[in-house]
Amino acid sequence: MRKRSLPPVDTYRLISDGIEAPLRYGIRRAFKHSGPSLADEEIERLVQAQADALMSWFCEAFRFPGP
Amino acid sequence: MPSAAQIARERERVRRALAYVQRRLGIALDVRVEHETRDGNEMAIYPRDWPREPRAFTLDFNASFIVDLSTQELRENVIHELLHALTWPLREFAMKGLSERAADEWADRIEEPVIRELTRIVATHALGRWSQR
Repeated sequence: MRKRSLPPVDTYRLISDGIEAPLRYGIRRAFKHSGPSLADEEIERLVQAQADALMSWFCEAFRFPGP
Repeated sequence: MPSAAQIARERERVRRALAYVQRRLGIALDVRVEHETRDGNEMAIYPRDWPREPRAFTLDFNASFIVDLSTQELRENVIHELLHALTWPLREFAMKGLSERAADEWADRIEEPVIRELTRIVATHALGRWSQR
């Protein structure tokens, strides 16, 4: 029997559709866990900043296929 | 205590699992594989020189713990550890200024469940399934 070969992983899709939302959830929980002193708007601003920083780091950590 | 030959065999299995997962996911991290005999984890990943070398990590494995893992399970464990490496900047940010107890609580209650969920998603993409260990 032939071995089933897996389709290539679409890294862009994996990040945008797969892991970005759970990561944002985790970041939001981390800020809420850090104390009740932050307003919701401030938490959202920090979540956005951290998510942006992480996405920027992913550009170095992943080898994205060229166009 | 595993023999030198067993450690070498398990090291090779971990290296192959790591190479496979990095190739499948296009991960560009420099990961060294080291045998570690500390109790506790099957595997653990640490930066080698953070933040000067943000892409350099060491993956520790405990041969006694991983000897019974299938190739699929080993690859899933490697994905789990690589996700810890990929989210290291977040960990550094979140743990800054926390006491040791608060940092442990953050790791147990927030980080680990998120990484487990990410492992499920990424393993399903990269390996075609997830064995839900």
